Amino acid sequence: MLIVFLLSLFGFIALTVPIAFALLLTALVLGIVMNAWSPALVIQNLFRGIDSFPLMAIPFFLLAGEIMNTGGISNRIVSFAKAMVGHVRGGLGYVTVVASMLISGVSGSAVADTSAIGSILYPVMKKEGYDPKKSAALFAASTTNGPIIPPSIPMVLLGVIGNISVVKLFIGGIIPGIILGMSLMTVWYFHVKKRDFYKVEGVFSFKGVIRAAADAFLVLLIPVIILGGIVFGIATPTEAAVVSVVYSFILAVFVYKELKIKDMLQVLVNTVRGTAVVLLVCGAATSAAYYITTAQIPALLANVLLNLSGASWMMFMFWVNILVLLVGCVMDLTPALLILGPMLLPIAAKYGIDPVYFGVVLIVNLSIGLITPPVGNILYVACGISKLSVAEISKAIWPFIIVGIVALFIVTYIPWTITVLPNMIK
Amino acid sequence: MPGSILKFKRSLLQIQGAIEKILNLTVSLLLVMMSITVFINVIFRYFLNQAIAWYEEVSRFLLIWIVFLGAVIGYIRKDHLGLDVILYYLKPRGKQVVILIADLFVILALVIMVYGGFAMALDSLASGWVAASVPIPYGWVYMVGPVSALLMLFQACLKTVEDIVALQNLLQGGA
Repeated sequence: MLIVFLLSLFGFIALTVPIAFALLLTALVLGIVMNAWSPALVIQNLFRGIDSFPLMAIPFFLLAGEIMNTGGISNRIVSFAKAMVGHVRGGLGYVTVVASMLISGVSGSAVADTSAIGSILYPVMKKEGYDPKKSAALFAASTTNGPIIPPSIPMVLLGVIGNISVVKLFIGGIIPGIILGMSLMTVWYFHVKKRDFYKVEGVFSFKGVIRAAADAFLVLLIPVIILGGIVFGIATPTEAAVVSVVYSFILAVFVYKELKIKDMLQVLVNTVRGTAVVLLVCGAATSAAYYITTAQIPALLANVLLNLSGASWMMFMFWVNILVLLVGCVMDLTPALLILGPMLLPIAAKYGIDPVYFGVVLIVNLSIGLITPPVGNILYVACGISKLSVAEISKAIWPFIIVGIVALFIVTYIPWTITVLPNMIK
Repeated sequence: MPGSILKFKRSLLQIQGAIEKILNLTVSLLLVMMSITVFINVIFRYFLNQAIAWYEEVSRFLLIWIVFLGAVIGYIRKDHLGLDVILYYLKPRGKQVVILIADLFVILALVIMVYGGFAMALDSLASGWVAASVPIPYGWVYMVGPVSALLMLFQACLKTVEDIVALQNLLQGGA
């Protein structure tokens, strides 16, 4: 049955059938093989996977992100990062990483972050004589922090589909996100050190930081509102997300006056398109999951993994990471998470592994998958912005991928880095 | 191509354009409504200490409509996540064949969605299942599923015909 499942799912995907439809067809195949086929049931489960109040956080986080990009909010984040770390040699590189981390704390979508950071910083870096391929690779790699640092759309998805606290997942991503950011800056440091043409740009001025912070103050309040609201249990992630929509709308339209009402239609339609793509896969995965569970596929997969790793959770996590990295190379974060999450979580539970820890590791892993060729959403966006080919960026991006994987194994084998913060809240 | 077919094709494309425009406006409106519904409830709950009974169901219904209608826009704009790297490694003819096979599988999936969706929505209507806080029958909420699938089916058939023509041209060109 495991073979039937893998062949049909990956067969349909390899034939370039969009993943949502491939999942529905896999449900069809499994249903026919098990003689339990019912179209109405398939559609009922499809609805069940979409009909959820917590999932509503996804369109709201996407909408907030769209508003921020169109409304001049991203610009202010970049200026603030520039004032903080822009004065050293190759400073714009560090600005890229820091701004990505800040913007990840404001928006929930990695791809929106990539296009925001990339389209603001890449042209400047190119003009200043930075290595274009390295710069493109850097901004692509930096924005992998988007799904790791809260708020995060994949964490909302995993929380809902795997029945894990979204809030704990959010908080659990903070330290891994910082570790990843530091690792990327280390790679950049060595890149700059070897090359003489990177000059010191300007001087650090405390006044400058204060001024930029004052200018960005209203923007920097957004992560405070979102995180503060959900950590202290004042608001659910969905409520925090809708508040950030209204807040950024007011900021963009009335305070910065950079979002014109006539641009709103485009902003709304973009949000709906992003939402539909993600949630249709979510519904289809829920639908397929029904047949996957009925066919005992998680148990079959568990046997394979148990044989590989014995009783040791460390070996288990090792094989999980390898498997997920491989899947992440060829599949996007969202479908990979929605397919693998429900299958792997029960197995992890058998090892007594904390689901929050496991979920964060999965998401860190699949976020690296966003920049691993041949398939990586961030990679494609970075190509679009830099007008470089996937091959050109791929060549420049491998050191970032390697440190990303190192960071992944650090957080995997020091679970404290993930669990310490979520354990502090009730 | 004979003039009548060209004319037919043009009118089909016009229909597609009109569908997209209507959908864009509809989903934008629904998204605004969903945001306002959830936001107003936040305000009521935290500042006026009152919960609105219907907000959760209504916003969930809006989400369902947004996702399914958005999926149609996504289908027209070719947004849906898929693995098309494989196409870059194929020769033009093989590529066109794979695209055509994928088209047919998508049509099969959509037919299931239309059939299963109508079955489920009509079932729900017949059982008279109504939302708890508002007088909206669930059947009408679910109706958006098969209707969207039908709209996507229309698109998918258009695309398939185009892909068949493209394959034909390739085969004739090669012969």
